[in-house]
Amino acid sequence: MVKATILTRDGEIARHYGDDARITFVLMSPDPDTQKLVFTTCDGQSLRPEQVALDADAYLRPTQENDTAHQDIVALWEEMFGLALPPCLPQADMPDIAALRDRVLDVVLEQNAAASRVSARHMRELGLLRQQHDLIQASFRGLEHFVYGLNVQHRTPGPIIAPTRGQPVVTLQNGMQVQQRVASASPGLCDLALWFDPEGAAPKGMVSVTLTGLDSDQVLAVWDLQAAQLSTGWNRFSLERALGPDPVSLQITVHWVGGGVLTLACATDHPDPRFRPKIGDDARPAVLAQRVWSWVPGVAAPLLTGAHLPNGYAGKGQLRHVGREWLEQALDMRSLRADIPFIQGTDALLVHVLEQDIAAAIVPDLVFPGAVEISAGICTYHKDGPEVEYAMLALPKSERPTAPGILPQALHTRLTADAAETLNWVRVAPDTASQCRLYLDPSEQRQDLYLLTRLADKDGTNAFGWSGFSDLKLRFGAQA
Amino acid sequence: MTKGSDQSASDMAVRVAVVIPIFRHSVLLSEAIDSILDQDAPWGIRIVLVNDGCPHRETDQVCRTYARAYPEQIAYVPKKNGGLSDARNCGIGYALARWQELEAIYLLDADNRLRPPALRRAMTALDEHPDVDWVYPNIDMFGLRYAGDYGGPYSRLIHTVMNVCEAGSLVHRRVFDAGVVFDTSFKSGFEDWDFFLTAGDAGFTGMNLEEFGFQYRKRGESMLADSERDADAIRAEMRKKHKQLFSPKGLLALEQEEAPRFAIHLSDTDQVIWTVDPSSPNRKIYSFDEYSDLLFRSTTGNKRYFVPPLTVVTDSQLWKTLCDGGLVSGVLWALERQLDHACPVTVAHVMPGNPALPQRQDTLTMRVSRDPSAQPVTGGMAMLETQLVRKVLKDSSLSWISQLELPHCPISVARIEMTVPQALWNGAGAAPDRVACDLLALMARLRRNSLTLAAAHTWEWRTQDIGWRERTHKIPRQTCLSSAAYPRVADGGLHIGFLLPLVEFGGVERVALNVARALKRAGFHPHLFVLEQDTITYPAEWRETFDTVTFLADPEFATWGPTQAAYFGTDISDWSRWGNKGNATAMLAWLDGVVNFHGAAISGVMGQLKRLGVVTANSLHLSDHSVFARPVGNTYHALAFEHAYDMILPCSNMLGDWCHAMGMPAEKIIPIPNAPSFDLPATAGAPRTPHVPERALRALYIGRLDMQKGLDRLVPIVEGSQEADFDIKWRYIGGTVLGTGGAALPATITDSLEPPKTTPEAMTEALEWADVIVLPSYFEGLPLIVLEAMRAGAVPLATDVGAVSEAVVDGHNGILLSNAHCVTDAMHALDRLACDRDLLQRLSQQAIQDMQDRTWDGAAQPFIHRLKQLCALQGQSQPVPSTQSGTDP
Repeated sequence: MVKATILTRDGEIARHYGDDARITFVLMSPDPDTQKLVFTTCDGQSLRPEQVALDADAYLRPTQENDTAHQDIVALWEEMFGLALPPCLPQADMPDIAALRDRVLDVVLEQNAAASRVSARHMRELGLLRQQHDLIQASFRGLEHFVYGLNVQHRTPGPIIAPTRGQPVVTLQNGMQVQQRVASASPGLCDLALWFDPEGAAPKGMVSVTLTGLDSDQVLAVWDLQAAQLSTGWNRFSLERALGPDPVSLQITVHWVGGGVLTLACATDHPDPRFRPKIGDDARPAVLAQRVWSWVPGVAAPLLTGAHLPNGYAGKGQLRHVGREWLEQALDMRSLRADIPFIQGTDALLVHVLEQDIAAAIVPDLVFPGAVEISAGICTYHKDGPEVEYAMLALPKSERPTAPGILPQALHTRLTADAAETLNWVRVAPDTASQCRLYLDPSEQRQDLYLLTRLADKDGTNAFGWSGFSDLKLRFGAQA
Repeated sequence: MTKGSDQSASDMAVRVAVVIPIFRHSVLLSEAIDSILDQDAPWGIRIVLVNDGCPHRETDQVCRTYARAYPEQIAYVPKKNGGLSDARNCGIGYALARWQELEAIYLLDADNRLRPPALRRAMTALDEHPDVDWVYPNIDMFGLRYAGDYGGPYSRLIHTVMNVCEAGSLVHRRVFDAGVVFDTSFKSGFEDWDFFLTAGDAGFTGMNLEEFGFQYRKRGESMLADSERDADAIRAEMRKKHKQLFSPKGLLALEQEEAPRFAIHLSDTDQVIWTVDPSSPNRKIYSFDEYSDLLFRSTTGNKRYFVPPLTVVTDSQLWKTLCDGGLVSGVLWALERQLDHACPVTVAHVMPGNPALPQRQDTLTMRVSRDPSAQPVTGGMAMLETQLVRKVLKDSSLSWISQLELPHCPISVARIEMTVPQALWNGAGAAPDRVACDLLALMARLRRNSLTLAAAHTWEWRTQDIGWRERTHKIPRQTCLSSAAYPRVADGGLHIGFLLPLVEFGGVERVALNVARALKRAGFHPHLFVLEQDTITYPAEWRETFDTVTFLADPEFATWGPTQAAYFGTDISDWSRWGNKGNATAMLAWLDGVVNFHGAAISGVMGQLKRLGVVTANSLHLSDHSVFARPVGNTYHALAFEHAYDMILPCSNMLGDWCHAMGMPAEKIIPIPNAPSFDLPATAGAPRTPHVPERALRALYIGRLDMQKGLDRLVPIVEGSQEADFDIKWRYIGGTVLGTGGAALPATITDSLEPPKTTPEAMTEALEWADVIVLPSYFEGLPLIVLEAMRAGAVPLATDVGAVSEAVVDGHNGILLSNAHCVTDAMHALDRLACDRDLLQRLSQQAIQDMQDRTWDGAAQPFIHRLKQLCALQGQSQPVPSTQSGTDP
């Protein structure tokens, strides 16, 4: 049962009022030696001063206590606790226990009211903060969409700690894991890549990659994937949202469960034991090869095609950007060489329109399973160029030409006049930005993407026909 | 400890209490409290909220709310305002009394936070390191964002120059149980710095926990910002409070233990010695590979791994030579002083004396040159900062450092040219001069290590805040404001410095040597410091007496330098009053005592040395005369600086009386009366044969040929005796040290003048030959030659100047010549003694007898006694027998 605590100097007064179920009397008096107040119960049990200070609700001022004596007790209390003495209740006003109870009730009700006012103020402040938070979140989200819609914002690549030839590799057998400290500050980190060689690993074996904040002991992201999903070389692991501005030291853990052996490449030896990869208690001398990218801290970065997404990413209708590194691999259909240039000063792949022919760039393996839509920015980057028509087509790898200049059959079919399926050519005037789209039925296999251009005027010249594709995006269905 | 599980939290055994002192952070306080309530430790944590008389009522309300909401976890202790230290002490005391099972206390400021695993991790660190007494964090700031890395081994040395331990540390209760508390006199800030230094004084030590999880709220204005404004005053208070820690000896001892200054590569043995003091038994020795690993750890952008900040390259032979000869500390100190931006590399070229010049076989020379003109870099020892080594490792090639091998090296290199006595030269053959090659070989070898590649990347994301770890050698410099701290560390023995402006064969030097020998026999360790000359004569008896020898080599220092003031008519140099005395002070601050032997201007450092706990003494010998015979010199100079000396050591009782008369307190004056300055050789000691009457009286002049010695009186005495056809055979021994003063010597003297005698055997032979010695000086102290002659039975005929009459009693054991009629008196005395051989015999025997009990051990005994007393007052050890310094690595 909660009781009110009443301070008094006089035990007689306490006995005068008698025992009460809802009131506890605490006697206080100055210690003659220390000049500090000491506190006891009515039956002499000593009480801790700070507990009394916390619990005391009021001070019962004896009738015989003159002003001087009262000031003394006030001063002693303030000297001891740095606080004002609890509210004073003159004994003279309370002839009996009932009157005392009434006054105590008044005090407690007043305290209650004050506490309620404080509480109400806190709730109001919380509400204000929530509103403000909502507004900021909404504005921020709008900003994100605006930025993404305008142009691809490249993530900032961090240092590349590349694999070093001749360095020993890290091999993981079933159940083993390796821990590696990440050589990067955490704020804004959005992607991390490690160099894998999954050739010796059982395809259905599971790789679990975990990113942990060491200072907070917090798991920041986990990627679980099968070995079959890994490619030889850099494998990129993206975060749904770039790490926030609160900096922590980072560690990546790679755990392998499965048959065979999973191999990770290493870079330079490191003299500092903190940066050496650890398998159990065993620290290896060479750092795991790693790359990082960063973005605006706390902001969702545009997802990149080919990157592995973390567990739990909902990703309904997710949109993935195609990084420049994909277009750099594009093959010229005429030569089947990956030497197609970019238009100077842009990120646009130059699929230069040809006279009397179709120009095509093949981006191998770009169309991931589940993609339902591909969009691309298109433009002929010279005002004196011709009008150009642009189109895209996704075809299985099996359709990829094996000799230069040979059109895939599926493409050839679509180009005939009476083709059942045609391409959705978009005609664009020179020096005019536009967009073309390709809608797909979701497939379970990866496909190549063909970027096609042709002269709108079949007999025209292709001079200054600097036709380019840029800002490619893949949209995936809900299950991707 | 989670908010929703009070019951379980209260049941768990309490291991940690968090003390949160509050003053004015009424609202932010809740974040601090909640961060503790969110701790994920598997044991009990209690919170003590100490309201330090905050004027905001809100503070009281917040504390009450939390205390009532969590009555088992949170205690609320309001108190009158007493300052942050007082509030912390209050909370600590409350916690220790309230929860007896408590193991550690965490101090959290009311505006800071902890990440959830912080206390668990910190307590685990304490559990796993029972020798550690507190765990401190890196400083990860929020608000104004910054992250500072304070990693690496805890260094008390570095802690003297920067606060490496934030108050937000977990402290084992044994620290508080030992009585270490926050000093309530530190009200303006840095009270946590002082607390940890005090804990260190009590023998406790800390450890950094890299991922502690401590979050520091940084704002534009704060108590810390206030403290920074008063930083100088607060630091001065700390230095006063922790006097022993901040003393030169204290800092050097820490440096030896935690951060040895030098990494000495012995190119022929592949060993690397880490040490400050080459003679210290605590030096560490690594193989080259071990050293490489440690060096490369410090190259990847962190400041947590220590490597000596100065790299020295030499070979084991030269190293041994310098160690055995007691020269190594002086050489290392000289090399370090010359290192700066202008001269990134310093080189010592050490060679033996030319054996073809026997007269110079005991010469010791050290010359410093900073001539920037391009010359080949030759020498046996090189020094450079390890920072420069790191830069060379990161360079794309060795082209810059390779220039050291060019005949005309364009890199400015400071050079120490040193010639050592042949007897010290251990190495066979020529002096080593390939240090440039050895240095390049070292660099090339390091660059071949695969670990160099790691330095090309950035690995750390926190700012490395302990920049002092790469320059720990500069910390001990701060006490003396010198360009290098002298590399010697206290070893429990009593080390006394003997300061001499020059070392030749003069009387002052002879006295210094003999006093040093007496001290050595009494268990002290004498060390020789040459203040002004760069060349000294350093024969075996000196080498056997002094543990080490050091040249001050300060171009700004002169014994009698430029002056704008005089005291009692004697110039007081500007250097002694206002000069840059840092290096001279640093050279001597590590000693237990110093004795100044007529070093004049060096008196200017004595006051500071006294404050640093060094016992100071001034050895006085005589007053010089000005051109017009006015007494001047070191005696008057000593009056000007008497307050800076603990003891005044006149060479005679008469000089002691003079000192007292001139105002020096009697208790300070401890005469060390001169005694014969060399031991009689084994061949000596036979009773002098009675004088043969028929033989001519043998008269000897032995001494410097200069004005002071009365050269202009000697000549007429000699010529007069020859003209008067006295039965006298003259012999003249001496040379000029201070100039003849213009007196021309006749051919009768110059034709038979013998060079100065430098060995006891030669001296004894000369004195035993003589029946009388003639010393017609204008001014003297208590001439050693008089005492030595008397010991040998040669009757002194000496001018009654200085304290001569303290030894020579006219007609009793010698003849005193009046200053006014010196020549006449001398002529008369020579005639008398030539004729009265009984008188000669009597005087001779009495002279021998009077010198029998005159020894240096006896003379120095009162000084030694007082020196021991004063050293004991300074808290220093008693003297122990000295051992040979300098050993193999």
